[in-house]
Amino acid sequence: MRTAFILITFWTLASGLLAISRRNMIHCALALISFFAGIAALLFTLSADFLGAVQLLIYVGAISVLILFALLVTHDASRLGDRGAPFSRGKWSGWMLSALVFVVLGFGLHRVAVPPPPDPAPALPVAEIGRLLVTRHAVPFLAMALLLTAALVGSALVAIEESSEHARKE
Amino acid sequence: MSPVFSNLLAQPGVALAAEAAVKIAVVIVVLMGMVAYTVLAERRICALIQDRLGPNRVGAFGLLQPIADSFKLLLKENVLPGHVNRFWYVLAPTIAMAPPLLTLAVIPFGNTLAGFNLVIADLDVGVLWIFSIASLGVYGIVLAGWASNSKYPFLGGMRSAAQLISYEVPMGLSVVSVFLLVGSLKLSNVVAYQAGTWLIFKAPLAFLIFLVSAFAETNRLPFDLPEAEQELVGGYNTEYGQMKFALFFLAEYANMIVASALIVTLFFGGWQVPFVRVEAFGPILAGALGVAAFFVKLLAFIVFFIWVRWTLPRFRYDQLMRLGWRVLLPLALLNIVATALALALKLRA
Repeated sequence: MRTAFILITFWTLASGLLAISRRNMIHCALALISFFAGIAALLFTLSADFLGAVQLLIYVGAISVLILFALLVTHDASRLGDRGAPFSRGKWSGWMLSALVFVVLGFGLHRVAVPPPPDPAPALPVAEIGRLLVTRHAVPFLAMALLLTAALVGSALVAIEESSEHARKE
Repeated sequence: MSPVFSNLLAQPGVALAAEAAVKIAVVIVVLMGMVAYTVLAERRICALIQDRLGPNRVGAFGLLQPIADSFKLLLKENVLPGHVNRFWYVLAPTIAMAPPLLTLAVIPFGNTLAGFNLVIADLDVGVLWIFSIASLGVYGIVLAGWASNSKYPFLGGMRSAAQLISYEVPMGLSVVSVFLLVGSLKLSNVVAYQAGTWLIFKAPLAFLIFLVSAFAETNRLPFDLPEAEQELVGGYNTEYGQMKFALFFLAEYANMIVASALIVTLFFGGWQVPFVRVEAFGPILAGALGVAAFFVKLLAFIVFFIWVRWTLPRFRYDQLMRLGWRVLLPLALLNIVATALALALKLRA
């Protein structure tokens, strides 16, 4: 399990690096998909089956398809990147900021004493996750639902306005 | 059996791995055989519907036709068109083939036989696994369309992305009512729950939504717009030949078989034999009868899939989208609310 974990970690990191460094946008999106799949595989090795399946379903199966779809319908999106550099002019300040964040987080994590997990780690049953969502975490759960509904209504609104503008022009 | 071998098998981890390996081998061989003969069945049934004979020359009733076909495809020269994006072009057919094989792992095809559970991996989140893997099927098609670097495959790939995304939503929502009733995501529990009454009688609307979405998800007529021979030449697989084309073809039929197996498991009692108390026949015969029942139901649905393909005309693209978002989605939501209300009232009573 440990070997698998290490291999998948490297796979995930490499995909993430590819996703931000390739010039061709489609290649970036495909690397991003592989990154998401790597995260799902990590969750499976950590015996978080439910989270792994959800990660696959939502990030790999839905969100990434939409990203890819948007890139493909956007005219010449795949060639746009050839001319531009993948890194912007502010890249050094970006590197330094991320290094700083890494150091702070690493230092903080190093200071916190993490109790060793029981071996093997108990898998949280799906029913228990569901129960927690509607009891202890009910408020964030409802807030998320509200946010997503607002986003859905908003996108429908945008689509309707655009299509009526098209109709007026014609 | 040599002592070394039996000692090795005595270790718990090794025995488990060996059991899983045998099951995987059997399931893959059975699936591939079924795919080959489903293709033959499709050709013969379509011929029957169109008042023709169909392939009947190779072997008795044309039974050796799939073998001849597969040898032909395997032995063809491997051609790479010059204008394609090589890496993704070659990878796409294998990506298309993987999801049906992975989903099959959690479908119970029988109860127990000689002490073995007849399912490769009975995950606690079985159905979630199926949906998450099935949602990856779109990548094979989209990548094929994009990597072919050619307009008809591209259009086919785009259509497929839109279609699969649209129909995954009602499909996922329709089974929520099933799990409200069963109270578990584990497929063996779903089958066990249906010992008395099959779920199709308790959740008929969910079944209908699931069935329609399954047709859309497998790219079968009346929803075969990603391929649409008459408008798109062949859709995403236009630029493919040889075994690479065959993989897309296999994937399509494997998807159809897996969808049928899923429908049988979720709504038609899986391996449950109706009207007969199979336990009375002893464990071995009961297990075998369960497997037989599963396969009979599975074959019935495969024939149904084929029958529909040669009976119904294709939807127009806007009709397809309207059906998905304006009919199936609200119906599926309504179904969840109705089921939840009914269950709540029953709990109170």
